[in-house]
Amino acid sequence: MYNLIIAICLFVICSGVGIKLSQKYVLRYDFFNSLLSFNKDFYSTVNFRRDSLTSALNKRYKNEQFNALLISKAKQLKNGSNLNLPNYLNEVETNEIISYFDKLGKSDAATQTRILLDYENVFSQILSECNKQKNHNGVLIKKAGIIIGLIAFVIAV
Amino acid sequence: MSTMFEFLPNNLKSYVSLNLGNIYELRLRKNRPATANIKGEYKQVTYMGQNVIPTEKDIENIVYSACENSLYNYNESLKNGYISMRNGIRIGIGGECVIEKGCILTIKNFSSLCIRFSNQIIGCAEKVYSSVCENGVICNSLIISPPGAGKTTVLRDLARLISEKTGKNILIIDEKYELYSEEFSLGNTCDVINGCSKNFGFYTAIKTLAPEIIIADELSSKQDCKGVIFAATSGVSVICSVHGNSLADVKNKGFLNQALNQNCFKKFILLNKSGCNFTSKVI
Repeated sequence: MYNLIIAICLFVICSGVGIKLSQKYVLRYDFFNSLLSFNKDFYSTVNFRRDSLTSALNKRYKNEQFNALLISKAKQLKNGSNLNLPNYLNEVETNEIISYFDKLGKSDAATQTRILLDYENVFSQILSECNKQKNHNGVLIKKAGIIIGLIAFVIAV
Repeated sequence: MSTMFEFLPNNLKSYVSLNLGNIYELRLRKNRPATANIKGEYKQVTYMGQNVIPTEKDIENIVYSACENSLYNYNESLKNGYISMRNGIRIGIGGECVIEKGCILTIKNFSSLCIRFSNQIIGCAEKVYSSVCENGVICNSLIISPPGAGKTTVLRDLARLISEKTGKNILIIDEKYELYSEEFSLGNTCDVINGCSKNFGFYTAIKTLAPEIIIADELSSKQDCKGVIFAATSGVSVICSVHGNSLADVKNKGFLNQALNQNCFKKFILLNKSGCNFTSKVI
Protein backbone atom coordinates (compact mmCIF):
# COMPACT_ATOMS: atom_id res chain seq x y z
CA MET A 1 0.00 0.00 0.00
CA TYR A 2 2.84 2.32 1.00
CA ASN A 3 4.65 1.54 -2.26
CA LEU A 4 1.61 2.49 -4.29
CA ILE A 5 1.22 5.82 -2.52
CA ILE A 6 4.96 6.61 -2.99
CA ALA A 7 4.73 5.55 -6.66
CA ILE A 8 1.76 7.84 -7.26
CA CYS A 9 3.55 10.71 -5.50
CA LEU A 10 6.67 10.19 -7.61
CA PHE A 11 4.59 10.13 -10.79
CA VAL A 12 2.75 13.33 -9.84
CA ILE A 13 5.99 15.13 -8.81
CA CYS A 14 7.94 14.15 -11.96
CA SER A 15 5.05 15.01 -14.28
CA GLY A 16 4.47 18.28 -12.39
CA VAL A 17 8.14 19.26 -12.68
CA GLY A 18 8.06 18.44 -16.41
CA ILE A 19 4.92 20.49 -16.99
CA LYS A 20 6.28 23.36 -14.85
CA LEU A 21 9.58 23.44 -16.78
CA SER A 22 7.75 23.37 -20.11
CA GLN A 23 5.63 26.35 -18.95
CA LYS A 24 8.70 28.57 -19.34
CA TYR A 25 8.44 28.14 -23.13
CA VAL A 26 4.71 28.89 -23.13
CA LEU A 27 5.29 32.01 -21.02
CA ARG A 28 8.12 33.20 -23.27
CA TYR A 29 5.86 32.77 -26.29
CA ASP A 30 3.00 34.65 -24.58
CA PHE A 31 5.39 37.39 -23.45
CA PHE A 32 6.66 38.12 -26.96
CA ASN A 33 3.17 37.75 -28.37
CA SER A 34 1.99 40.45 -25.92
CA LEU A 35 5.03 42.57 -26.77
CA LEU A 36 4.17 42.38 -30.48
CA SER A 37 0.54 43.29 -29.76
CA PHE A 38 1.72 46.29 -27.72
CA ASN A 39 4.06 47.30 -30.54
CA LYS A 40 1.16 47.18 -33.04
CA ASP A 41 -1.14 49.14 -30.71
CA PHE A 42 1.52 51.75 -30.11
CA TYR A 43 2.10 52.02 -33.86
CA SER A 44 -1.54 52.99 -34.35
CA THR A 45 -1.32 55.34 -31.35
CA VAL A 46 1.62 57.17 -32.91
CA ASN A 47 0.11 57.27 -36.37
CA PHE A 48 -3.52 57.93 -35.65
CA ARG A 49 -4.88 58.51 -32.13
CA ARG A 50 -1.78 60.30 -30.86
CA ASP A 51 -2.45 59.30 -27.25
CA SER A 52 0.40 59.68 -24.82
CA LEU A 53 2.92 56.93 -24.07
CA THR A 54 1.54 56.77 -20.53
CA SER A 55 -1.95 55.87 -21.75
CA ALA A 56 -0.43 53.23 -24.06
CA LEU A 57 1.36 51.75 -21.04
CA ASN A 58 -1.94 51.57 -19.16
CA LYS A 59 -3.31 48.95 -21.56
CA ARG A 60 -3.18 45.32 -20.42
CA TYR A 61 -2.25 42.21 -22.41
CA LYS A 62 -2.49 38.41 -22.08
CA ASN A 63 0.88 37.85 -20.39
CA GLU A 64 0.99 38.98 -16.75
CA GLN A 65 4.77 39.47 -16.73
CA PHE A 66 4.48 41.71 -19.76
CA ASN A 67 1.83 43.73 -17.92
CA ALA A 68 4.25 44.01 -14.98
CA LEU A 69 6.87 45.29 -17.43
CA LEU A 70 4.44 47.99 -18.66
CA ILE A 71 3.70 49.03 -15.07
CA SER A 72 7.43 49.23 -14.29
CA LYS A 73 8.01 51.35 -17.43
CA ALA A 74 5.27 53.76 -16.29
CA LYS A 75 7.02 53.96 -12.89
CA GLN A 76 10.37 54.49 -14.61
CA LEU A 77 8.95 57.52 -16.41
CA LYS A 78 7.95 59.00 -13.06
CA ASN A 79 10.90 58.18 -10.85
CA GLY A 80 13.62 56.61 -12.98
CA SER A 81 13.31 53.12 -11.44
CA ASN A 82 14.45 49.98 -13.29
CA LEU A 83 12.36 47.90 -15.66
CA ASN A 84 10.86 44.72 -14.27
CA LEU A 85 11.84 41.94 -16.71
CA PRO A 86 11.03 38.22 -16.35
CA ASN A 87 14.00 35.91 -15.68
CA TYR A 88 13.23 33.56 -18.60
CA LEU A 89 14.60 36.09 -21.09
CA ASN A 90 18.19 35.68 -22.23
CA GLU A 91 20.72 38.54 -22.20
CA VAL A 92 20.21 39.50 -25.85
CA GLU A 93 16.42 39.61 -25.47
CA THR A 94 16.72 41.61 -22.25
CA ASN A 95 18.96 44.20 -23.92
CA GLU A 96 16.65 44.43 -26.96
CA ILE A 97 13.63 45.06 -24.73
CA ILE A 98 15.43 47.65 -22.57
CA SER A 99 16.62 49.45 -25.70
CA TYR A 100 13.09 49.28 -27.22
CA PHE A 101 11.38 50.80 -24.20
CA ASP A 102 14.11 53.41 -23.90
CA LYS A 103 13.32 54.66 -27.42
CA LEU A 104 9.54 54.91 -27.01
CA GLY A 105 8.19 58.44 -27.17
CA LYS A 106 11.56 60.11 -27.63
CA SER A 107 11.28 61.18 -31.25
CA ASP A 108 8.82 62.53 -33.79
CA ALA A 109 6.06 60.41 -35.34
CA ALA A 110 8.02 59.48 -38.50
CA THR A 111 11.05 58.31 -36.53
CA GLN A 112 8.89 56.46 -34.00
CA THR A 113 7.14 54.68 -36.86
CA ARG A 114 10.48 53.52 -38.31
CA ILE A 115 11.64 52.34 -34.89
CA LEU A 116 8.40 50.42 -34.28
CA LEU A 117 8.56 48.72 -37.68
CA ASP A 118 12.20 47.72 -37.10
CA TYR A 119 11.35 46.25 -33.73
CA GLU A 120 8.32 44.46 -35.16
CA ASN A 121 10.74 42.48 -37.35
CA VAL A 122 13.07 41.79 -34.42
CA PHE A 123 10.28 40.66 -32.11
CA SER A 124 8.54 38.62 -34.84
CA GLN A 125 11.75 36.63 -35.33
CA ILE A 126 12.08 36.05 -31.60
CA LEU A 127 8.41 35.04 -31.42
CA SER A 128 8.82 32.54 -34.21
CA GLU A 129 11.89 31.12 -32.41
CA CYS A 130 9.85 30.97 -29.18
CA ASN A 131 7.08 29.13 -31.00
CA LYS A 132 9.56 26.54 -32.27
CA GLN A 133 11.04 26.10 -28.78
CA LYS A 134 7.56 25.85 -27.26
CA ASN A 135 6.52 23.15 -29.75
CA HIS A 136 9.81 21.25 -29.55
CA ASN A 137 11.53 21.75 -26.17
CA GLY A 138 8.33 22.48 -24.29
CA VAL A 139 6.55 19.36 -25.45
CA LEU A 140 9.73 17.28 -25.06
CA ILE A 141 10.25 18.34 -21.43
CA LYS A 142 6.61 17.76 -20.61
CA LYS A 143 6.75 14.24 -22.14
CA ALA A 144 10.08 13.54 -20.41
CA GLY A 145 8.59 14.49 -17.06
CA ILE A 146 5.62 12.18 -17.57
CA ILE A 147 7.83 9.30 -18.80
CA ILE A 148 10.24 9.69 -15.87
CA GLY A 149 7.22 9.79 -13.59
CA LEU A 150 5.91 6.55 -15.12
CA ILE A 151 9.32 4.87 -14.78
CA ALA A 152 9.54 6.02 -11.16
CA PHE A 153 6.01 4.67 -10.63
CA VAL A 154 6.88 1.27 -12.05
CA ILE A 155 10.14 1.05 -10.06
CA ALA A 156 8.41 2.09 -6.85
CA VAL A 157 5.57 -0.40 -7.30
CA MET B 1 -4.21 70.72 -8.83
CA SER B 2 -0.90 69.10 -7.85
CA THR B 3 -1.08 66.84 -10.92
CA MET B 4 -0.78 70.01 -13.04
CA PHE B 5 2.85 70.29 -11.96
CA GLU B 6 3.84 66.63 -12.25
CA PHE B 7 6.26 67.59 -15.01
CA LEU B 8 8.41 69.57 -12.57
CA PRO B 9 11.07 68.09 -10.27
CA ASN B 10 10.15 68.02 -6.56
CA ASN B 11 12.00 71.22 -5.58
CA LEU B 12 10.29 73.32 -8.26
CA LYS B 13 6.94 71.58 -7.75
CA SER B 14 7.08 72.50 -4.08
CA TYR B 15 7.97 76.15 -4.86
CA VAL B 16 5.20 76.48 -7.44
CA SER B 17 2.63 74.88 -5.15
CA LEU B 18 3.57 77.30 -2.35
CA ASN B 19 3.07 80.27 -4.69
CA LEU B 20 0.01 78.94 -6.46
CA GLY B 21 -2.16 81.72 -7.87
CA ASN B 22 0.62 84.30 -7.55
CA ILE B 23 3.22 82.78 -9.84
CA TYR B 24 3.03 83.91 -13.47
CA GLU B 25 6.26 82.59 -14.85
CA LEU B 26 9.19 80.34 -14.01
CA ARG B 27 12.49 80.85 -15.80
CA LEU B 28 15.02 78.05 -15.85
CA ARG B 29 18.45 78.43 -17.39
CA LYS B 30 21.10 75.71 -17.51
CA ASN B 31 23.43 76.00 -14.50
CA ARG B 32 22.00 79.40 -13.54
CA PRO B 33 19.73 80.18 -10.57
CA ALA B 34 16.06 79.72 -11.43
CA THR B 35 13.83 82.79 -11.16
CA ALA B 36 10.09 83.18 -10.83
CA ASN B 37 7.73 86.02 -11.63
CA ILE B 38 5.63 86.39 -8.50
CA LYS B 39 2.87 88.97 -8.92
CA GLY B 40 4.91 90.83 -11.54
CA GLU B 41 8.21 90.78 -9.66
CA TYR B 42 11.14 88.45 -10.46
CA LYS B 43 12.52 86.51 -7.49
CA GLN B 44 15.11 83.75 -7.15
CA VAL B 45 13.61 80.33 -6.65
CA THR B 46 14.71 78.70 -3.41
CA TYR B 47 14.13 75.27 -1.93
CA MET B 48 15.01 74.56 1.70
CA GLY B 49 16.94 77.82 1.87
CA GLN B 50 19.07 77.07 -1.21
CA ASN B 51 18.85 78.59 -4.68
CA VAL B 52 17.53 76.12 -7.23
CA ILE B 53 20.05 75.73 -10.07
CA PRO B 54 18.75 73.42 -12.81
CA THR B 55 21.17 71.25 -14.78
CA GLU B 56 20.87 70.40 -18.47
CA LYS B 57 19.49 66.98 -17.47
CA ASP B 58 16.84 68.63 -15.25
CA ILE B 59 15.73 70.84 -18.13
CA GLU B 60 15.65 67.87 -20.53
CA ASN B 61 13.57 65.85 -18.05
CA ILE B 62 11.11 68.73 -17.66
CA VAL B 63 10.70 68.97 -21.44
CA TYR B 64 10.11 65.20 -21.82
CA SER B 65 7.69 65.12 -18.90
CA ALA B 66 5.83 68.17 -20.20
CA CYS B 67 5.50 66.29 -23.50
CA GLU B 68 3.97 63.38 -21.52
CA ASN B 69 7.07 61.43 -22.64
CA SER B 70 5.47 61.46 -26.09
CA LEU B 71 7.58 63.73 -28.26
CA TYR B 72 5.70 62.49 -31.35
CA ASN B 73 2.70 64.49 -30.09
CA TYR B 74 4.58 67.70 -29.44
CA ASN B 75 7.32 67.93 -32.06
CA GLU B 76 5.30 70.28 -34.27
CA SER B 77 5.04 72.85 -31.47
CA LEU B 78 8.58 72.07 -30.30
CA LYS B 79 9.77 73.11 -33.77
CA ASN B 80 8.14 76.49 -33.10
CA GLY B 81 10.00 76.79 -29.82
CA TYR B 82 7.30 75.99 -27.31
CA ILE B 83 5.20 73.30 -25.73
CA SER B 84 1.59 73.97 -24.77
CA MET B 85 0.35 71.66 -22.10
CA ARG B 86 -3.32 70.68 -21.94
CA ASN B 87 -3.78 72.57 -18.65
CA GLY B 88 -2.95 75.99 -20.07
CA ILE B 89 0.73 75.96 -19.11
CA ARG B 90 3.00 77.08 -21.92
CA ILE B 91 6.73 76.38 -22.00
CA GLY B 92 9.00 78.44 -24.23
CA ILE B 93 12.17 76.54 -25.06
CA GLY B 94 15.70 77.70 -25.75
CA GLY B 95 18.17 75.24 -27.25
CA GLU B 96 19.91 74.11 -30.41
CA CYS B 97 17.79 73.85 -33.56
CA VAL B 98 18.27 70.77 -35.74
CA ILE B 99 17.92 71.92 -39.35
CA GLU B 100 17.55 69.89 -42.53
CA LYS B 101 17.11 71.47 -45.97
CA GLY B 102 16.37 74.82 -44.35
CA CYS B 103 13.58 73.48 -42.15
CA ILE B 104 13.72 73.00 -38.41
CA LEU B 105 13.37 69.30 -37.57
CA THR B 106 13.38 69.74 -33.82
CA ILE B 107 15.17 71.42 -30.93
CA LYS B 108 17.82 69.58 -28.92
CA ASN B 109 20.30 70.36 -26.12
CA PHE B 110 17.70 72.41 -24.26
CA SER B 111 19.37 75.26 -22.39
CA SER B 112 16.53 77.38 -21.03
CA LEU B 113 12.83 77.24 -20.33
CA CYS B 114 10.26 79.94 -19.76
CA ILE B 115 7.30 78.25 -18.07
CA ARG B 116 4.19 80.43 -18.09
CA PHE B 117 1.31 79.55 -15.82
CA SER B 118 -2.16 80.57 -16.83
CA ASN B 119 -4.37 82.18 -14.23
CA GLN B 120 -7.99 83.10 -14.16
CA ILE B 121 -8.60 86.52 -12.65
CA ILE B 122 -12.34 86.84 -12.34
CA GLY B 123 -13.47 90.35 -13.25
CA CYS B 124 -10.18 91.55 -14.78
CA ALA B 125 -11.92 92.17 -18.12
CA GLU B 126 -14.87 94.21 -16.79
CA LYS B 127 -13.46 97.43 -18.24
CA VAL B 128 -12.62 95.81 -21.56
CA TYR B 129 -16.13 94.32 -21.68
CA SER B 130 -17.72 97.73 -21.25
CA SER B 131 -15.52 98.97 -24.11
CA VAL B 132 -16.34 96.19 -26.58
CA CYS B 133 -20.05 96.00 -25.76
CA GLU B 134 -22.15 98.80 -27.23
CA ASN B 135 -25.88 98.65 -26.44
CA GLY B 136 -25.66 94.91 -26.00
CA VAL B 137 -23.82 94.42 -29.30
CA ILE B 138 -20.31 93.01 -29.21
CA CYS B 139 -18.08 95.06 -31.52
CA ASN B 140 -15.23 93.58 -33.50
CA SER B 141 -12.26 94.38 -31.32
CA LEU B 142 -8.51 94.02 -31.36
CA ILE B 143 -6.66 93.89 -28.06
CA ILE B 144 -3.07 95.09 -28.39
CA SER B 145 -0.45 94.46 -25.75
CA PRO B 146 3.20 93.56 -25.29
CA PRO B 147 4.07 89.96 -24.28
CA GLY B 148 3.29 89.11 -20.67
CA ALA B 149 0.78 91.93 -20.21
CA GLY B 150 -2.16 89.61 -19.75
CA LYS B 151 -3.85 89.35 -23.15
CA THR B 152 -4.79 85.74 -22.65
CA THR B 153 -6.03 86.28 -19.07
CA VAL B 154 -8.17 89.21 -20.22
CA LEU B 155 -9.55 87.29 -23.23
CA ARG B 156 -10.43 84.36 -20.96
CA ASP B 157 -12.34 86.61 -18.56
CA LEU B 158 -13.92 88.49 -21.45
CA ALA B 159 -15.27 85.20 -22.81
CA ARG B 160 -16.77 84.44 -19.40
CA LEU B 161 -18.31 87.91 -19.09
CA ILE B 162 -19.81 87.89 -22.58
CA SER B 163 -21.19 84.41 -22.03
CA GLU B 164 -22.72 85.31 -18.66
CA LYS B 165 -24.04 88.74 -19.64
CA THR B 166 -25.27 88.17 -23.18
CA GLY B 167 -25.77 84.40 -23.38
CA LYS B 168 -24.48 84.48 -26.95
CA ASN B 169 -22.75 81.49 -28.54
CA ILE B 170 -19.02 82.06 -28.36
CA LEU B 171 -16.37 80.10 -30.20
CA ILE B 172 -12.91 80.14 -28.66
CA ILE B 173 -10.14 79.24 -31.06
CA ASP B 174 -7.42 78.01 -28.74
CA GLU B 175 -4.54 77.16 -31.04
CA LYS B 176 -1.93 76.81 -28.31
CA TYR B 177 -4.02 75.29 -25.49
CA GLU B 178 -3.65 78.51 -23.48
CA LEU B 179 -7.12 80.01 -23.30
CA TYR B 180 -9.08 77.02 -22.17
CA SER B 181 -8.47 74.57 -19.37
CA GLU B 182 -10.94 72.49 -17.39
CA GLU B 183 -9.83 74.43 -14.31
CA PHE B 184 -11.26 77.68 -15.71
CA SER B 185 -14.83 78.85 -15.91
CA LEU B 186 -15.64 80.28 -19.34
CA GLY B 187 -19.41 80.48 -19.01
CA ASN B 188 -22.03 78.10 -20.34
CA THR B 189 -22.22 79.23 -23.94
CA CYS B 190 -18.60 78.79 -25.03
CA ASP B 191 -17.45 76.21 -27.57
CA VAL B 192 -13.74 75.57 -27.70
CA ILE B 193 -11.62 74.10 -30.44
CA ASN B 194 -8.04 73.59 -29.45
CA GLY B 195 -4.88 72.51 -31.14
CA CYS B 196 -6.01 73.55 -34.63
CA SER B 197 -4.82 76.50 -36.69
CA LYS B 198 -6.83 79.72 -36.50
CA ASN B 199 -7.44 79.24 -40.20
CA PHE B 200 -9.35 76.02 -39.54
CA GLY B 201 -11.21 77.70 -36.68
CA PHE B 202 -12.36 80.70 -38.67
CA TYR B 203 -13.31 78.87 -41.87
CA THR B 204 -14.62 75.52 -40.68
CA ALA B 205 -16.02 76.20 -37.22
CA ILE B 206 -18.15 79.11 -38.45
CA LYS B 207 -20.02 76.60 -40.60
CA THR B 208 -20.15 73.77 -38.08
CA LEU B 209 -20.56 75.50 -34.71
CA ALA B 210 -22.51 78.60 -35.83
CA PRO B 211 -20.94 81.04 -33.35
CA GLU B 212 -22.15 84.59 -32.83
CA ILE B 213 -18.80 85.70 -31.44
CA ILE B 214 -15.31 84.35 -32.09
CA ILE B 215 -12.45 84.90 -29.69
CA ALA B 216 -8.89 84.13 -30.82
CA ASP B 217 -5.54 84.84 -29.20
CA GLU B 218 -2.35 86.19 -30.81
CA LEU B 219 -3.00 86.87 -34.49
CA SER B 220 0.35 86.47 -36.19
CA SER B 221 0.02 85.82 -39.92
CA LYS B 222 -1.76 86.85 -43.11
CA GLN B 223 -3.72 83.60 -42.93
CA ASP B 224 -5.04 84.66 -39.51
CA CYS B 225 -5.96 88.06 -41.01
CA LYS B 226 -7.90 86.39 -43.84
CA GLY B 227 -9.77 84.34 -41.25
CA VAL B 228 -10.70 87.49 -39.35
CA ILE B 229 -11.99 89.13 -42.55
CA PHE B 230 -13.98 85.99 -43.41
CA ALA B 231 -15.58 85.94 -39.95
CA ALA B 232 -16.23 89.69 -39.84
CA THR B 233 -17.89 89.57 -43.26
CA SER B 234 -19.93 86.52 -42.26
CA GLY B 235 -21.84 88.40 -39.59
CA VAL B 236 -19.81 87.04 -36.69
CA SER B 237 -18.29 89.38 -34.08
CA VAL B 238 -14.57 88.88 -33.68
CA ILE B 239 -12.40 89.64 -30.67
CA CYS B 240 -8.71 88.99 -31.15
CA SER B 241 -5.40 89.91 -29.60
CA VAL B 242 -2.08 90.83 -31.11
CA HIS B 243 1.39 91.70 -29.79
CA GLY B 244 2.38 95.35 -29.83
CA ASN B 245 2.75 98.55 -27.83
CA SER B 246 0.51 100.68 -30.03
CA LEU B 247 -1.75 100.61 -33.08
CA ALA B 248 1.23 101.91 -35.07
CA ASP B 249 3.19 98.79 -34.10
CA VAL B 250 0.36 96.61 -35.42
CA LYS B 251 0.20 98.59 -38.69
CA ASN B 252 3.97 98.30 -39.09
CA LYS B 253 3.78 94.53 -38.83
CA GLY B 254 1.79 94.53 -42.05
CA PHE B 255 0.01 91.19 -41.82
CA LEU B 256 -3.17 92.78 -40.43
CA ASN B 257 -3.28 95.68 -42.92
CA GLN B 258 -5.97 94.11 -45.09
CA ALA B 259 -8.28 93.73 -42.07
CA LEU B 260 -7.45 97.26 -40.90
CA ASN B 261 -8.08 98.71 -44.38
CA GLN B 262 -11.44 96.97 -44.58
CA ASN B 263 -12.34 98.36 -41.12
CA CYS B 264 -12.88 94.89 -39.73
CA PHE B 265 -12.14 96.11 -36.23
CA LYS B 266 -14.25 98.80 -34.63
CA LYS B 267 -12.46 98.94 -31.29
CA PHE B 268 -8.76 98.86 -30.52
CA ILE B 269 -7.86 98.28 -26.90
CA LEU B 270 -4.35 98.84 -25.64
CA LEU B 271 -3.61 96.62 -22.68
CA ASN B 272 -0.89 97.15 -20.13
CA LYS B 273 -0.04 95.54 -16.89
CA SER B 274 1.66 97.05 -13.90
CA GLY B 275 2.35 94.42 -11.25
CA CYS B 276 -0.81 92.38 -11.12
CA ASN B 277 -3.15 95.16 -12.28
CA PHE B 278 -4.43 95.45 -15.84
CA THR B 279 -5.02 98.80 -17.47
CA SER B 280 -6.88 99.11 -20.75
CA LYS B 281 -7.34 102.07 -23.04
CA VAL B 282 -9.60 102.32 -26.08
CA ILE B 283 -7.68 103.94 -28.95
